Amino acid sequence: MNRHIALLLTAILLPAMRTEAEEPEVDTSKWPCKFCEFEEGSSFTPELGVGHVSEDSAKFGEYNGLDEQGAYAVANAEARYRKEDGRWLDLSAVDLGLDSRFFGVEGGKQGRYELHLGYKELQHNLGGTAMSPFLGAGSSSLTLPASWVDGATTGDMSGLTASLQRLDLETGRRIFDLGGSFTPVTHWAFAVNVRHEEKDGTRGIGGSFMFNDSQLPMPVHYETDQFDASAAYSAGRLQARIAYHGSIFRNDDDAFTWANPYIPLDAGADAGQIALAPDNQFHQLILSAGYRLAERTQLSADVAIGQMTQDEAFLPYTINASLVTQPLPRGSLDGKVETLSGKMKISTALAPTFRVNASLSYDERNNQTPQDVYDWIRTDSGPAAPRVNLPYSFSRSAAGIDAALALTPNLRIHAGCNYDEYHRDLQEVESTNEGACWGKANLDAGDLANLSFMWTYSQRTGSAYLPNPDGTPAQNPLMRLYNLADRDRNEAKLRVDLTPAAAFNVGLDVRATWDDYFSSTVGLLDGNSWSAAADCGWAISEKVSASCYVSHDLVKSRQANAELLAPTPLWFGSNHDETDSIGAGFKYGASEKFDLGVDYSYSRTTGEVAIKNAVEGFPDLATRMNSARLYVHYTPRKNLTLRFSWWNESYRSEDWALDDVLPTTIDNVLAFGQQGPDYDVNVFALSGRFEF
Amino acid sequence: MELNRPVTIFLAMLAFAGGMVVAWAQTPESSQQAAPEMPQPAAPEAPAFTKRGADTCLRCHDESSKFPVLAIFKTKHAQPADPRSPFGKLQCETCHGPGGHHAEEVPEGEKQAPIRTFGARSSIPAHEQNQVCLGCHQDKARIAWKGSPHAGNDVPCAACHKVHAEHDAVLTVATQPDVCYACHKVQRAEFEKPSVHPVRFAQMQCSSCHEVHGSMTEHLLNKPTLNETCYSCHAEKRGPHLWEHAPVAENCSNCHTPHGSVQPTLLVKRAPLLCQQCHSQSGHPSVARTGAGLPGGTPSAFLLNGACMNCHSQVHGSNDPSGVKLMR
Repeated sequence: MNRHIALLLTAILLPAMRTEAEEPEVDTSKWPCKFCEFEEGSSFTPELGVGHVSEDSAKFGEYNGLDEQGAYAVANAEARYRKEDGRWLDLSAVDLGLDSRFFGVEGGKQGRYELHLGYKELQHNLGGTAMSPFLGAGSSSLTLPASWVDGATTGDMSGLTASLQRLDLETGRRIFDLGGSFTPVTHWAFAVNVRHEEKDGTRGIGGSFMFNDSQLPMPVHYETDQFDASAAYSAGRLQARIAYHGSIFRNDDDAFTWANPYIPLDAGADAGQIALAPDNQFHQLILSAGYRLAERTQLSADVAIGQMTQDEAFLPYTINASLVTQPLPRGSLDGKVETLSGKMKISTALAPTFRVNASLSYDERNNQTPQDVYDWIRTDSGPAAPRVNLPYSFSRSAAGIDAALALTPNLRIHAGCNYDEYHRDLQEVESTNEGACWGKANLDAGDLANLSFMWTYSQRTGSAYLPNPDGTPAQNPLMRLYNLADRDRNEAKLRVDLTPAAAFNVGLDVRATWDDYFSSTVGLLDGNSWSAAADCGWAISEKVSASCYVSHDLVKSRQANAELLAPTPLWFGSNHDETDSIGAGFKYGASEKFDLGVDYSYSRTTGEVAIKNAVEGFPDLATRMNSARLYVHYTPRKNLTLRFSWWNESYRSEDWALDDVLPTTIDNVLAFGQQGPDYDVNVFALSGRFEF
Repeated sequence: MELNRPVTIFLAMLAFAGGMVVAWAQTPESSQQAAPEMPQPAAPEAPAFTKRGADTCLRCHDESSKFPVLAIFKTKHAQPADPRSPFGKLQCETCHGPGGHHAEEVPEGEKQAPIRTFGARSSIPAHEQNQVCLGCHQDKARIAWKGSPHAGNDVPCAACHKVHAEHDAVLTVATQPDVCYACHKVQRAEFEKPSVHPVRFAQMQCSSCHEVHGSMTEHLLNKPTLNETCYSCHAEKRGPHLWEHAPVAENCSNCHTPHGSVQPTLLVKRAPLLCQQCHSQSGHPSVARTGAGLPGGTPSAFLLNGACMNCHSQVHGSNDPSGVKLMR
């Protein structure tokens, strides 16, 4: 049976299989619920106040809107309305005084319908120390000042220092969300949701003329509309859902151009153009169903059929008028990718102590984009050998089975195997397959302790590794791309949860992974990761509680490289990242009127990059972050709470890729001069929360 | 027999819709707004229900009790006008089961008879607890609950959800991660790294990407594939592009890690080493970059700032006819 027919059978059979459950019959006529404090009426709880940020820091305010020094308004609110017949309305406003804020309203009649409306802004600060001589940041055309003097290198650009201006690299999302769900009859639920997102701002991108590069402020003016609609049925043994998901992306800028700040190496190369993200669409139909075949046997299935399309009009090969170009093979890509995802799982408890799960899945990315020959121009500078575009397709099939057996009421063992097979076209390996088997033991010593240990072994192998005939220029024949390469992987996980006393608990989570790319001579050779995290919670008394955590994380790998004709690796490199973090919290609820809390966290990271036998190595990459928070809440009367908070966070970083790299540091990169983040910020806030 | 794709899609839609219509047609008129099915309460020999329902329970379980419950009246579970709500049915005993014996007075010093309780420390097995919740909540989001990792690890619903609280912490953006971190301790540490998705900034939550109640996708992702999950917020990277970067089109996690990284933009490794894991072409891709290329030496465009991305800035794909090298 082919997959199309299987898909059809799933679609036909699952919704039609339905059963009804019986209703209970209990006489509740003498259950007046007179002590039940059902909520009725309305309440409004605004929180108003003022806060202050002690210094500018794009990194501290990367997402939270606290990136600028100065005062800000604390403005939050909640409102509720409840009516006896089930009608309700909730309003929520969070951080209205900041650039990252949220406002939402939802309501309806419980059990019949719900409507929601949301508005969210999310600021993303990408760096506060960038500088650029380009004019028109945020637009699709970057120019240089009239006084600009081209240079062969950045150091030769005599007008550069005087032309530098501060750049605010940041983007902001504005998300509008409108939707509702309806339950017109029992067992059925319908939902629709429309989401409109605008993303505006400026981010960095590199643009080059041959080997002369500039960091450029790229305009971001995106709009994305998402539509979701679904109908769901749920009763007795069956749950089924049919849903549509649509996503339409539009970019106001199809390209941007910039003036060449270097002395052009090629005639006419005095400006460049880069294509920006093209408008595109994705439409998907999703069918899901779950059916209880027997008391302890559940069948679940998902089928998702989608199509991505992109047909933005092509830019010309170049804006360099001195170059003669061939006609484009087509006016736009007519790009089309069909996606198919089908998954099925059966879970059964063959006995109360023995469970088995089995699953099958199939994912496909079928790229039907036409292939053509493109007589491309290299960086608006000169012609290059024609190339054919490579629309990549792949499919993935997977199967898995696992079983869990409770040997005793306290000891359970769990084991399973998975098989995963990829088929790809236009790549070096036509098919890869990976088999994995795992075992897990879990010891549950009741309230005192819970321990589990899991080990997984997997091996990935592939069909013959053939250098891509369409890949130009060619790779060293020993190269094995790591996502296609043969690999042995071992994984171990240990988890311990101890509760030596009812009020005290300790947990430990340790994970390790060892990867060995055993057929690779050039490329990624091996990689290890190791994480250990522990936490604790202590309810010291009814009024006092404390918590803590500590963790260590390590990621490292080794690789080798060699140019095309080298018969053996010419060099070896390694990467070694470590993260340590520690934190503690303390809460004291002194009385109904007064409570306070303190949280502290510290994290440090180091990154080591090394080239074996290199005379000159790299300094460590490093970050250090200290963060302390204090809050005090005082409730002098029932409808008023005064809130005070203090937050201190300091951050230090050492990053050799950024530190001391000024606009003229690299001869052939006109850089932003952006330095690694470094801040020590205090945020104070005082507010009153009122209840009406 | 081989059907072409549009025909298959059309037939699948038609068939599924037909099945839904059949199911709709079988829905009795009388069931409109009737109470849905519940766990079976009282067989003749089963423990008795209380005589006065919630009024019996609330005599003890007020705010001064060891198990205060009154906040439930601020929640959707306590809405008598909704016949699906516990208080539209058997009040407290809808979920906790018949409480007649539990409510009986006992001599001082003796314990009350047990009643069905919920949570990680309950003596009731997790799957039995969850069956009570699923009696009403096994709907669209929980189709794949059974056999899911959380179900398989016997995580009770009440380990994460607090139904007697006015605000369930796991349903709030700012507090949800802490609920998840109680078990997923390594993920808490990952979100402490310098480059993260904005979870610790309370602008994203775990459920932004994960369907914790069960998903057919790996890692409980809430879309059919990993890349589709990422495209939910990063639609500009979806394409399809004229010039694709093969590992990007296949799996975002080939280069990025989702929670947190020591390296910028959530990369698994810093360029140029990241790129040199796959690129060995003669010329600049295969040259070892050492500390000699740092400021103080001969500052190198292949090493500093964006390294390879200084020029090859369109690594997610390009639609420029001259973008074959991902430089336009």
